[in-house]
Amino acid sequence: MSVRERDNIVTPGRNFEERARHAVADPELQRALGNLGQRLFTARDVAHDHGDLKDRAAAIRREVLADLDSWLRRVTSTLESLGVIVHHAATAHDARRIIVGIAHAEGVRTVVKSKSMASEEIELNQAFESAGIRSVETDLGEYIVQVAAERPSHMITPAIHKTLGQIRDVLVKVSGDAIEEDREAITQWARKRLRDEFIAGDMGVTGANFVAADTGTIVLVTNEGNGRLCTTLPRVHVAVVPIEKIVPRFTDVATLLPLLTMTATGQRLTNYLSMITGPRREGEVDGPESLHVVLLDNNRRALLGTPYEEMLACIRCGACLNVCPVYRRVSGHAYDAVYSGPMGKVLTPLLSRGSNGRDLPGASTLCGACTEACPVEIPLADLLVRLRADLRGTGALVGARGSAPPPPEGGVARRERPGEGYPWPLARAPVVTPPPRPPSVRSIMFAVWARVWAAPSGYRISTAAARVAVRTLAPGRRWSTTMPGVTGWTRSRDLPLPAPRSFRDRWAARERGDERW
Amino acid sequence: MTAPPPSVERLREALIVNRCGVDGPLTSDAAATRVAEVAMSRAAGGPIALPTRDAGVAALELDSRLGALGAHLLHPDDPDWHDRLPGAAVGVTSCAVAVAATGTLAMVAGPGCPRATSLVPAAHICIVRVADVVDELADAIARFAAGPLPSAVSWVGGPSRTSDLEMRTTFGVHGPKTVDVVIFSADSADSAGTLAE
Repeated sequence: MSVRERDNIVTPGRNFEERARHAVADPELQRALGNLGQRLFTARDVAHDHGDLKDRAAAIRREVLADLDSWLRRVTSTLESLGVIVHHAATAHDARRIIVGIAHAEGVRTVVKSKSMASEEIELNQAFESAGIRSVETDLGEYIVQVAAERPSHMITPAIHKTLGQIRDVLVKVSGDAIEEDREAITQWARKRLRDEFIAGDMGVTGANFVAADTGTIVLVTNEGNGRLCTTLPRVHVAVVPIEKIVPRFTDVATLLPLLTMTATGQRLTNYLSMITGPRREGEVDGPESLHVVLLDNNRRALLGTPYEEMLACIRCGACLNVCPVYRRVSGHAYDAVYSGPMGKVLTPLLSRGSNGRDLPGASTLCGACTEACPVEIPLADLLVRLRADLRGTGALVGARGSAPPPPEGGVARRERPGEGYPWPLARAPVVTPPPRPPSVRSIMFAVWARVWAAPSGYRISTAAARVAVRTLAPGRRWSTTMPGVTGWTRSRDLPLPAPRSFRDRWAARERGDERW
Repeated sequence: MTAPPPSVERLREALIVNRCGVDGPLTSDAAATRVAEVAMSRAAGGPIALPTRDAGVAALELDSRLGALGAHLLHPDDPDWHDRLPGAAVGVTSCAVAVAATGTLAMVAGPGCPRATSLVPAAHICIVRVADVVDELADAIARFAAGPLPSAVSWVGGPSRTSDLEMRTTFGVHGPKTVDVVIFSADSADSAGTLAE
């Protein structure tokens, strides 16, 4: 059974449109989402007060991406010199195999996990489950989502889609304990329950917010302290680190950390930071005896040197979700993807090489709020527009490195040729390319439209005709939703009724000296 | 008589915003008395975890102070430290550096200074030397960058917290439920003035 079949589908539907419709009609979800209101202006305030910090952070991220392979070699050798065991995972499958392999080799029975989007991306909990290893999420929101057999719906507050009553019900159902519908009571219940897990845990799994290439330091931010517990009590620590998390210098953390925490939660710094440099040392009584770092590619390197490289600057702060008018109405599950919101709409098709989330780039108003909110200046709206074009037709990402591969026979999976300069044996995920589709009525319509408007006379005649047609055939205020022939596209998009006279007509009249222009 | 540096006042304010208990700056002697008092009251008869090679704990002679009060002490070199630590009521540490702007205390792991002392017990008491207060995070990072980094630097702003329940903050979810900070100046002339005011 696939993960998706087994998961509780909070927001059902075959595509984004159906799921969005469902989400908007769910009163409990809409009530829970109201709580996101307080984060609406967080990113804007940071941009206003700390513009210079933003610029410096954006530059640091680009510095790494400009020469990621060198930084990867650098961070690998630094980590190894500290006694860290470094693994290179080309695909999500490789990462799961490596991590489950570590757990088996170390005789691990219970894994305690700190919230990590990278481990969600590689579906690590399911891999542990299949291998008969118990894995417990320890971030409170992530724990709630795990026991409800759901996915996180927001990368910073994973259970934002649930009301307190729903959370209480899930915890009562899974534990059989009597828990009051009260924030304090739930918090204290979780402390007791999860503390026992920490003491039993043999292996801690975390992500990493940053890894410094010069010192090999892994930086983790949390507010609860579960990240510290996962890296203090278990005898093994595994950090799943997407390759773009590297920063050149340890001192760069002083720029990136406050920016991340201010944008993510409005805190000048999170309550806890852990900076981990190698495993437990001689004479120390706690900290992991062995520390593994799994550097995860999963189609990231293929984006380097393309316009999509920008997306790898992302620091996973969640600001673009918080400001997105679409996300704020439909919540994370409508995206049916690990990464949701504007960054998810870009990243999901990219990381799956076009096989997942093909309809997501279209699920945007292109209002640009995400671009404005992004603390590292990723042009999210531009990338969405580009993806819409690139995902059309054969679905090959034309912007991606090495140009689009020819469509394989019958649209079956094929393997890419290994890239040059790749520092470890390469086995990329198969690229699934659907067979080309015949041109749709809409694409023909757009082609004709483009042709007609290429000439001033075509523009003049067609707009005059359209004005007359619209005003006589569909004279209501919401004409575009009832105009015959185009409602498939305009059902959810309203347009004003055209003015009786065009601007061009009025301008010409004015130039002629007509006083009633 | 000298007033405490502005960064110390800033640190006090930030720590209070972060929901820490704050005392000082005090003289070494007054600080030791205060730490012992808070530790005994937070412990309520339960064990108090103390590091064995912590500069601040040593400077305030907390082992003998707390011992004299009949405290039940737990040290990292005790053979059953691992089993007993989850039952400890209080952990006392000092910090290597404190960031005034954010109210953040950075603790360094090492032999005799386990990471868990400031993490596992329900109450954490942290001793801050005035000389270790810096203004910004960047200053603290620069200090660490100047030397070899320890296996772990644990930065703490205050009691453990979460906003996973409808975005309202609750405290004590995983780490300590209370954090008490006692600021002291090794140079007693400095802080005697403050006390006299």
